[in-house]
Amino acid sequence: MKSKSSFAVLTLLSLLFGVFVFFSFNGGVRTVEIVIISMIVLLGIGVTINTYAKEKKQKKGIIVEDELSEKIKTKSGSLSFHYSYFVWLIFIYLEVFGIELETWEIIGGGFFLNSMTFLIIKWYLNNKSYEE
Amino acid sequence: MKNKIKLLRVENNYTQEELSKLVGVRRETIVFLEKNQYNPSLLLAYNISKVFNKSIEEVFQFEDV
Repeated sequence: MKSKSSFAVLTLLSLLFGVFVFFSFNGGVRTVEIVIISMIVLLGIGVTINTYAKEKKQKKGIIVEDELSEKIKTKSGSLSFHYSYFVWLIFIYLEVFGIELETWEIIGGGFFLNSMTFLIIKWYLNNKSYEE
Repeated sequence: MKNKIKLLRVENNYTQEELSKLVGVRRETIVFLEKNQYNPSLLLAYNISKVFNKSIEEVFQFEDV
């Protein structure tokens, strides 16, 4: 693999291919699936752009990783794990209030919301405030 | 823990970018340090002090517990 960005593009394409294969074997694509695919594509594009920007900075000699960025990553991971309990709790409450969800919707939605929580916390700690 | 990084940086005519390259961290880390929002590792504190030719105690003010 030549670079991180080409690895990110390849991962995104394989993921999309996997999703389309999965849905084509499960009775075609519905609106919910289009939404999920769009979310995956958006996340993938975001990750690819971020990786590409980092690589460009590295080529210019700008430092992209240091002790603070590592700490922020760890803290974001720990906080998003903590908040993930509430995400699962929301899904349980949805069931209580009569909104029926399929297993894959719960798992998929849970993973998506957790990764979004991680990204939002990481962005906040990186740009707004980092207090020890 | 408070520090005099901003004061010393301006005195020595360094930009945040230049200082970050000298000590091997991102510019954002210097921003957080200057705002007293981040306590650096001992190694980073040592490197910053070395750039300004000062001792760690001269750059960083430790508060009594």
